[in-house]
Amino acid sequence: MGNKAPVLIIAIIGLMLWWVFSESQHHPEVKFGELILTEAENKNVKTAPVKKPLKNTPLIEPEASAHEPKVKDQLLADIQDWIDRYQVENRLEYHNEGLAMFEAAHQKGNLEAMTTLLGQLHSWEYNLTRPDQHVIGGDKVYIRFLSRYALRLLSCQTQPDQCDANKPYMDSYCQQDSALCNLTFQQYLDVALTPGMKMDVEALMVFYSQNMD
Amino acid sequence: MSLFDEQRNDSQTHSASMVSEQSNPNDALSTKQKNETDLSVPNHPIPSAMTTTEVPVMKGVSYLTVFRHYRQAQLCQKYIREKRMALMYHESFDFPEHIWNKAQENMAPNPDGSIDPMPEPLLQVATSHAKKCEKLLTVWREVFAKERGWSSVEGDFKQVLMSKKASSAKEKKLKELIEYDQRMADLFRTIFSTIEGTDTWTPSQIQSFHAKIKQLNGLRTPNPDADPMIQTRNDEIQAEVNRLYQQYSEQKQSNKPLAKQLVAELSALLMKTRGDLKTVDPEVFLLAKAITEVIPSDRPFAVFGLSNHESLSQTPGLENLVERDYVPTSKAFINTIAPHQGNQFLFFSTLKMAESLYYCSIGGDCSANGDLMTDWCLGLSYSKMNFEACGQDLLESELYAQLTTGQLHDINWMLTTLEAFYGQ
Repeated sequence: MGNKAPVLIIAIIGLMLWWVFSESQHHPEVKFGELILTEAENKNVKTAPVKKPLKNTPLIEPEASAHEPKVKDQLLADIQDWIDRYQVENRLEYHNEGLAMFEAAHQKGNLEAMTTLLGQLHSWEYNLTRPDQHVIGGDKVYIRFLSRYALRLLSCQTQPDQCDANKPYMDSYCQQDSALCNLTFQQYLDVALTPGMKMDVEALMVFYSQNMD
Repeated sequence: MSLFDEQRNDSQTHSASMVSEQSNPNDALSTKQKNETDLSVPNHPIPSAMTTTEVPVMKGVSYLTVFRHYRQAQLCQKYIREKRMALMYHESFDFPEHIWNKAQENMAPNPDGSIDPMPEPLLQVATSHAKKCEKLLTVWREVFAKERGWSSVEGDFKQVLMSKKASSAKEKKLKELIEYDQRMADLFRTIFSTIEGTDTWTPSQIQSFHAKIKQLNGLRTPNPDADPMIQTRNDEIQAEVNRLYQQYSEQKQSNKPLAKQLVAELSALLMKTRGDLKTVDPEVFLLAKAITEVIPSDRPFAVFGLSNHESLSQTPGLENLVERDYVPTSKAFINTIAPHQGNQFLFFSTLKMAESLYYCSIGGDCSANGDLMTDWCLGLSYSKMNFEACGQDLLESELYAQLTTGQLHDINWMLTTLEAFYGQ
């Protein structure tokens, strides 16, 4: 047993070296001894221990991804702050600030933020245009309703249960017209919208989802 | 305010009630038309809200010319109202400036409080409109010998239309529709008063009732604050007032069978007028459209888009009186093209544009200086002004350019469908 121990240790080290070498061949872009870091962190690191990326995982380290929810929360917090600051007197300024935040949310592909902002950027009393009107045209009443449909459809892509037939918002349609009972949201739109409206919903979905993953 | 509300409250605005040969609705429908339109219920001679006393004949002026004065007067209502207000307060009146100041109410205030200069196209349209209205007022003063009065200019011309002889086929059709429009208003008013019932109390009993109510209201303490004793006393007074009103309501004798017959006549009249939508005359079309949408015809271009009314059977008070229901044309059209739509507001702007383009297609003036674009620009039929419509043809206007690809697609097939729907 005692004579076999060095042989075993050498064999294990050999296997490990072979495995590490073979992995580096599968990921030629990842050099041996390289550390995956953000650009900022990389500037401060001269030498570092070996870090092996796992198969099928994004090449983003937990340290980096930890910032993402914080940024997202900050945007939503800014939007909430903006909503709380609503004043009729400063309506134009307020609206322009909202448009800028929508631009930021759109660039980030943040559906939740876009949905919240579009609900607020609609003005019944003033002749102010919505950001999506600049893209596909239309009057604000028409776009407001189609926008809601488009945003819900997008949300249903990640949360399909949101468009289920048993959702409470479908009840009102069912009460109006029994032909609309037990339909999923997508089925409802298929029945309720004209061909042109469907075209516009699709155009809005394309616009909203431009920067989404 | 909806037409139905106006019917209930219009006793203040129409001062006299008089039946005349000209305004008698029985004459409005010829025997032939009655047979054609299944008017199985005989018309009931009801007093018209229109008066025909001392109506100038306007000799030497054609019926069509008077009709156009009437239409212009409708378009000038806003101008006349605002001018009269300015005169009453001894203020100077500059219509373009006035309308621009009004427009600020719908524009988000600039952060520095400044007001943008008036757009040139708006200035031109408002100036031109003011001239047309002044010209009309000159005619009105000459014909009706009125100066600075508050009487309804369009109402005065309408009275002439009700009594004047129509000569050409078009004039006869216009006259018929003017009479239907009046008959519709009279029917609504009578139906609601029939439902409400007539007093069985004597005039002195009614006088006593009003005096008692006034007395009770005078006993209330205006600001009870938090004093529960005073609040209780006020509640007791209110209970007594309610009890008296209940008594007053119960003494009225309503005539439901008559109301039902009148509703049937109304429904038949509306259905018959729908047949006139197949006309290719834009002036006849606008008038017929207003009636079939069950809206007041005094705002000529409010007829495009969706009517405020669902149907006769869904009109409060008429629920159990309708045997043959009537749905306004625009709603009926939407029900045809999208029977399972769950949101009619979604159709409003597209349908409004499609119907407007239909109006242009049958010869309606949709040019930059035409009535339609003037109406939209200055907000004459609707209170909302659309600067995008000022000084532009409909098809060249920003309003048209702003339509989405989907709306243009829908308008294209809606136009064809509308033709079939109107029966062309």
